[in-house]
Amino acid sequence: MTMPDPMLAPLALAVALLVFVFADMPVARHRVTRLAARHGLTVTVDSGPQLIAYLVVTRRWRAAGAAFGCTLYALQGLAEQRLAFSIVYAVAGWFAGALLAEVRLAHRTSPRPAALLVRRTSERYLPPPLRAALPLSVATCLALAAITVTTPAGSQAGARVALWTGTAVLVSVLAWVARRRVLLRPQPPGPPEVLATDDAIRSRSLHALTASATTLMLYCVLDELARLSAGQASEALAVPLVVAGLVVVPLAGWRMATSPWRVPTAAAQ
Amino acid sequence: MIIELDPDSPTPPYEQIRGQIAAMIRSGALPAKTRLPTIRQLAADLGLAVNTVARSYRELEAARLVVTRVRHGTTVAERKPDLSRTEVLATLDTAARAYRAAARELGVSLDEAVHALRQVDRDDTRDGVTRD
Repeated sequence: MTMPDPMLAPLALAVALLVFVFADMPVARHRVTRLAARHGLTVTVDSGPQLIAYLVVTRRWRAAGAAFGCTLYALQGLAEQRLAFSIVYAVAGWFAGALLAEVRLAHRTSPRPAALLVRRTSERYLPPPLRAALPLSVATCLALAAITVTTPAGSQAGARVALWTGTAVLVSVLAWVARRRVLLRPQPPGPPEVLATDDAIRSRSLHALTASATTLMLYCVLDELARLSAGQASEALAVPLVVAGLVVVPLAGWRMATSPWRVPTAAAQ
Repeated sequence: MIIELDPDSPTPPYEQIRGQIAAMIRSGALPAKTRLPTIRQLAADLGLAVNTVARSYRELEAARLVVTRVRHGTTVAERKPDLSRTEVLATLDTAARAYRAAARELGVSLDEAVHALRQVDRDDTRDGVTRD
């Protein structure tokens, strides 16, 4: 991965803006029911508008983010007279879009003179494997970076290792801050049904943030594995690494982002 | 298990929070070891300053109704508060006066107020709410 030309960023931003504008379309009914089904909700007159408003915001920002990442890399390729696509850039854009969507959603809720006495933690909103995914991938990434710099091949790629390690740290910090903001977002006023929908929305946001951040981390891990294997059994490891980068990691990311989770009710806690 | 604030009440918000949580703990609606929301969460939900909620929690802790531990947060205490008979009667008297004042404000007779209290007790028993 090479650093993009800063001159290409405004152009990519323009494409992202176009996607942002064109993504402002009515939300299809099946998307709403699918979101509700993932959290065991029934779509009603109260919860429907809440789910639609959430999907409108998140779809626009996440799509625009992914488009920005893809376009930036494609323009960089075109400048070098080649057609190029990078999943890493797309995922990075998706993650940035997910962060911005959460900032946007945070401005939509206002405090009310009532609060449910239930502690909002990631244990409540994420399944155990997803809770462990990000810390594990960060730890792996940092451990591999430490190993890489001690090897002869790694010492020659110090800048690259620093780039990946810096990315890993930055992404984990941003994901942690965003997760905290999602958990602290005030509850909307309304009956228990509205609160249950709000819980589902919070859970879905945490799924998307964790999935995009973990996927980025896994690409950092793959790059470091490639560094480590360079010059050793490189040919034997090349195919598994490419398959992992093109198929396994994107599928794992998608699976994490869309995994169902029924948020426990207050009474069940 | 919902806390509601009355912005028009002369009772300060920290006291409203403290009073409602204390009542829930004493009635058994909040059983021992229940983890309460973080101070920041409750402050964000109610649109209050963090210090206001922190003061409520501090007072609940002083009354030995909750326990705050690092990394565990605030949980409902297991032990019942050691109130003397005089303190119990004094607390009951305060609550009764507040209830009577509210009933008077609504223009409700004493019999009707007592009937409403009995009705609440019957409903709670039916719904399985435990009490001391």
